[in-house]
Amino acid sequence: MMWEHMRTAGRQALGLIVRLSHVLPLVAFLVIWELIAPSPTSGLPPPSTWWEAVKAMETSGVLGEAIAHTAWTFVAGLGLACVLGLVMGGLIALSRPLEEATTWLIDFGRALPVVVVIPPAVLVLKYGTTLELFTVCFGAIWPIVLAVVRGSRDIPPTLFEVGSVFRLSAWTNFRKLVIPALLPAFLSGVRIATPMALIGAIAVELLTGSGGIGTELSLAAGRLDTPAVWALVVVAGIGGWIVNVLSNAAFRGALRSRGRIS
Amino acid sequence: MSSPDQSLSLRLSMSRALARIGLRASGVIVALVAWQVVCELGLANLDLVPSPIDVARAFVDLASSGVLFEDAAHTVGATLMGWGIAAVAGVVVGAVLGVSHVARAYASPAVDLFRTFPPIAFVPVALVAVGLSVRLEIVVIVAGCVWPILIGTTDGVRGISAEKHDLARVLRLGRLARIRKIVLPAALGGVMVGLRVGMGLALVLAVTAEMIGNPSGIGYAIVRAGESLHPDRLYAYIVTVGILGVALNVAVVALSERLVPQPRRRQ
Repeated sequence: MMWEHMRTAGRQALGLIVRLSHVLPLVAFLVIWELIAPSPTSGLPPPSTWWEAVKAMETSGVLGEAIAHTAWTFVAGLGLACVLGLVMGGLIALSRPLEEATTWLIDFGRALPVVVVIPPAVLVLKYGTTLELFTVCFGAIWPIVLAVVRGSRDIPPTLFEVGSVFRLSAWTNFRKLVIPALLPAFLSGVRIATPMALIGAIAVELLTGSGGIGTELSLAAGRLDTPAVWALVVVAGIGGWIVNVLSNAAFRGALRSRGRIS
Repeated sequence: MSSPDQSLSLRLSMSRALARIGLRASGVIVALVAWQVVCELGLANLDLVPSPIDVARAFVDLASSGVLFEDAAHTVGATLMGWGIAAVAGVVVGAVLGVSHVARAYASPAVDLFRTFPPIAFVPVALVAVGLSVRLEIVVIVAGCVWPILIGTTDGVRGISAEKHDLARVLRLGRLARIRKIVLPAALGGVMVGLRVGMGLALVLAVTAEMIGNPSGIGYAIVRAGESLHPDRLYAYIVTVGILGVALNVAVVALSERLVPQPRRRQ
């Protein structure tokens, strides 16, 4: 009995070690870089100098402020895109001809790179929070609109017959039938929109100097502080990874609680 | 040879397709007319928002003077170059990762980290690493669009059915012959999905790199037009980006239809 336990524990430990060893190529890559990197002032400074740069930005408070700014822009812009995307998608789904008529318009909006939208938006909105929110929202809204339109099409008509049989009010109908039926499609749209919102936030910060990681990146590049540039890029990369993991977990969690997937 | 019944249904489906295209075009026309009316009524500041007719005029001016083609040629050149390099690297590495599960296990932390990376953040790094030149654009494009190609290839290779591997074993194909004759043709669908996503991303990254990094091409033309308060040219360049995106997408789809054997439609 005891022996069995130890064997499974041993096997689990071995599995963990094997899994951890999968990070080795990444670590080896950084170590080799550290050893053969030309100098801290070159374009490819050794990774240890990135760490120094992170610590310097951390103690001066620049890093925390930048992360907070980017996170706020990202969350607020994505939230706005969710609300507006839900409303737009819902309105478009009301009529089939309207859905056809907006197809090419939405395709065009979706095809435009978010950076390209910033200069015309600057002319109208000037620099500031509105511009930031508009950019993030424009970059992220399209998959949500499309998902809501598609999701509304897939609601079985019998669901509304159920509603009328039970004589539900319009509000109850909406709350108890439409929202649960739309949720999976809406969430899958949000999942696609999430990385786009982060790209939009960094793009507007890079181009307009409005603060946050993007602005710190362009400032660091401007003063040729290469370790700081690499440090900020690593921060942005980790941010992207965390956002991806969180949005996947939220998507699965929300669907599982509704019994859609197990 | 077709029966009257069939030709009727064909005509019906054709008229339905025409009606759909008409509806879609009318949506665009209504939006443009509404925009023009807003401008004519003086509801928009014309120094900041051009009317559609102004944009069309600027587009024709830029096109006839040749400036537009020069800028577009630069951007498309960088896009294709970066995409081509990413395609070769992504397909080769993706195929290796698809065949060997050990390689896949050891590469997955790095791939997972880099695929979620916001590629736009890479522009300042490329700026300090390679300086202001078209190389900056190419580095950014490759770093951003290699991942969908690599992942598409890996998925395509992994999706090959066991029977095909059995076939290779029965025919006693060598490792190289197996990759060339069985693996690559079967994985082509996944590869093509990656190449198509990568092409869209490549154009976006080229324009982005030109806007914040290397001052040339359409991206820089957009910045220039915005800063010199020429909204008509600004919008004309933006429309050009849209057109280029559609054209490049059509080109990749056409390529994939030639390369990938299409399933025959049942009559």
